Amino acid sequence: MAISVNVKACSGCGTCEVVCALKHFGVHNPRKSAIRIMPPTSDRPWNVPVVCRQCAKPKCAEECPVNAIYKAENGVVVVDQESCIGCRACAEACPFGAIFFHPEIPTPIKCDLCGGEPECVKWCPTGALALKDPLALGDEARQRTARAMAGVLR
Amino acid sequence: MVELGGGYVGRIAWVDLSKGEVKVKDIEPSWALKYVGGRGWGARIVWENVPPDVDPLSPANVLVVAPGPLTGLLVPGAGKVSFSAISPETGYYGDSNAGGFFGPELKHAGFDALVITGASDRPVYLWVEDGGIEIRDAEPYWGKGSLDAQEMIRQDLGDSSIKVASIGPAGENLVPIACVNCDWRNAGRTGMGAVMGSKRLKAIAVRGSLDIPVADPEALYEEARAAFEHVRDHEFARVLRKYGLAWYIDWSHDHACLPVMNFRRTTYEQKDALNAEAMLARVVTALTACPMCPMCCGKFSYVRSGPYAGAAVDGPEYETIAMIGTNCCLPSIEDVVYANWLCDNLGMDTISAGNIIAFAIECYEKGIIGPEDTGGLELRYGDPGCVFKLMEMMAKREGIGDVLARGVRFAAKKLGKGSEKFAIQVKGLEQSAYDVRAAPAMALAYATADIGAHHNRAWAITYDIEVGRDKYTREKAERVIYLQHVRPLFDMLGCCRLQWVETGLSLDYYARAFKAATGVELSVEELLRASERVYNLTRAINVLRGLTAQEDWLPDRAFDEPVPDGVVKGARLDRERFRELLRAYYELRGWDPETGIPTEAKLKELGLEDVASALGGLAKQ
Repeated sequence: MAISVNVKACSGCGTCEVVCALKHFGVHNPRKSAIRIMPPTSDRPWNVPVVCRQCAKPKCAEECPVNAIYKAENGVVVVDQESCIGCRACAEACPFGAIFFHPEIPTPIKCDLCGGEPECVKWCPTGALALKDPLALGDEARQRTARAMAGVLR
Repeated sequence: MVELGGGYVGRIAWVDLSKGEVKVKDIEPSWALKYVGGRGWGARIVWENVPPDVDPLSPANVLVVAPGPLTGLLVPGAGKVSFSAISPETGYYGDSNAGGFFGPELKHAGFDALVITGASDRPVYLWVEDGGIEIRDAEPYWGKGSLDAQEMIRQDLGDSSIKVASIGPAGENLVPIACVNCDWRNAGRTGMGAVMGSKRLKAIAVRGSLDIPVADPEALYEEARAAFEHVRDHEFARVLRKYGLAWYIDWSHDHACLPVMNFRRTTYEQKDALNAEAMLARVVTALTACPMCPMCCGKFSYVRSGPYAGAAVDGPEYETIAMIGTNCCLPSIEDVVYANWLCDNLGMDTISAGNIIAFAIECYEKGIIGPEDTGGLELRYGDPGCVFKLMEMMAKREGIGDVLARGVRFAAKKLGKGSEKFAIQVKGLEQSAYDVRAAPAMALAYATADIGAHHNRAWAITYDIEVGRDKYTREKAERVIYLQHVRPLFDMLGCCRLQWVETGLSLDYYARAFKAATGVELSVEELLRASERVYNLTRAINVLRGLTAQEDWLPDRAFDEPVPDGVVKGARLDRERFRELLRAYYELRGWDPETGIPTEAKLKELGLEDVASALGGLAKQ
């Protein structure tokens, strides 16, 4: 499982950032959240939420010098808080920039899927965030394809 | 002694640009609560620090940048930041607020407000980060477009997440209609950008990583859950999420209150080229929203092809489409997007700019000005080229642009020949996008708004439509007063009012959220009382600066020229009945029914004893 992002639906309201930090740290502070929205720019006119994709072969884990990051059985890429030394190599290794550091927190801030019910998905007002099973990935596109193909035949 | 458990972060920074000094002071809880925050603090700080004879563009004016106690918290639309000062456009108290993420960032950086005094002798910007403020050289950014400068600053500081409030060439050139751009959102009205320009302050760049304290986070969370559901699922919120505020173009057209050709007509044959449907079909790429808002009324537009390809803005909103689009009769939504981008980058208010240009075109039509005045530029409705050109001439104060840039009140005085009759302004502020000839309550709202003819104090036109557009009842005056307290309350709390306006999210919710945030219980009545206090305070500032009841009045067009089209064809305001309505308004407010000056009794009732004594003989018993 991982959080899947529909860029075209995101409004950039930032609710996901605030509720994520509230859930994990109990405070109002979007810079302590594991998801961040890149607001639109003139050459990229969309809001783009950035959050861990729980990679199958996580670069963050590969680059971790103390092997504190591992893929758990439920598919979540986990940081072992005990062995992590806070060196920030993971944040630099992530190709999406989906690992965050905050001056008050020694270890990386990274999406843990809230134990299966992500707070950000619950609050997202536009449905831009969804929790998706890898087996179901692409299902919507396949259904569209199927409808289109059936239309061609009709 | 009250204690604040959160909501506020507890500090105000006083930045003296003349001396290059920053002093950080703790907020005093009872003072903080008495004026709540945002515009309330702005008004109080202006009252205490700017004597009535101070020129708005002199170093002695102060600029207050203030989010509110709810800004940045889990409350729908909690992103508002107010900019307050004496307005260079009106000469009276002015404020304007912006949504977006600048306000929350300022609180995360450790400040409830910045108070900017004095003036630098060279261009500077402020770098605000986690309790610290540096005054930095802005030479490389001076002269640059406002949006361009923001990008340059972010790039030079090496972090795209930095939030920036900035001014463009208009603000630098002290154009009285200059705005402050807060990333993609703008504090447009009353010339706050010119105040920044007069202080040679190009920008305020902020990065904050601190928590905003909250007295009872669980209670705030639970309250927010219900409020979010209410707004998210509301039928009209769904409409605005889809269409944005541009939806109101059709609404205004249907109700014959859309400004067309400088508020002469109320319907526009080509409005379907400019309405929400046109926007969605042609330019919208994404939804946008203020912090924590499930309504998402914003739309991001991008021009895909043609001469303005690549122009991108958060917007255009209803006001911009109406004031520049229909009021100047532009032919396509792409023209409006480009005009919106141009105004943003020049750092100029789209409402005033559209109003002024429509006025200039009418002057040209009537022969009051000619090609000899415009440098050969032909002015006519429907021609985007002359609209864009005038915008640049105003921002750079070139030729006729220098006259127009000072607003229609000034321009009409200068040009004469009866043009003041159709200079659509109150107190020097250009009227925003509602024709009031068949809307006495809305007319009263414009006439009595403390900053001039702007709708954000009281958007009473829906009440006119509800109870009768030819009625001048006392209830209308009561309604306007109620709205003038409720709506600015949101600018004090630091969140958007539209969740209340459009979906009926209850005022009780905000009182509960305020308690959860601050730990202090203030009832809705007490909050509204605070808003009334601020309204009387701004009135007092204006009275001491020479405001008289004659300026609570509308231009002649509203009384003399019947609406030529639409569902209220033939309607116009009646002077005598409107005068009676205004008198009823003064009485209901506890102001002198002749002069419109707050009475001593009213000021004392609101805990404004010092204001009553400053007004001295002006305020009657």
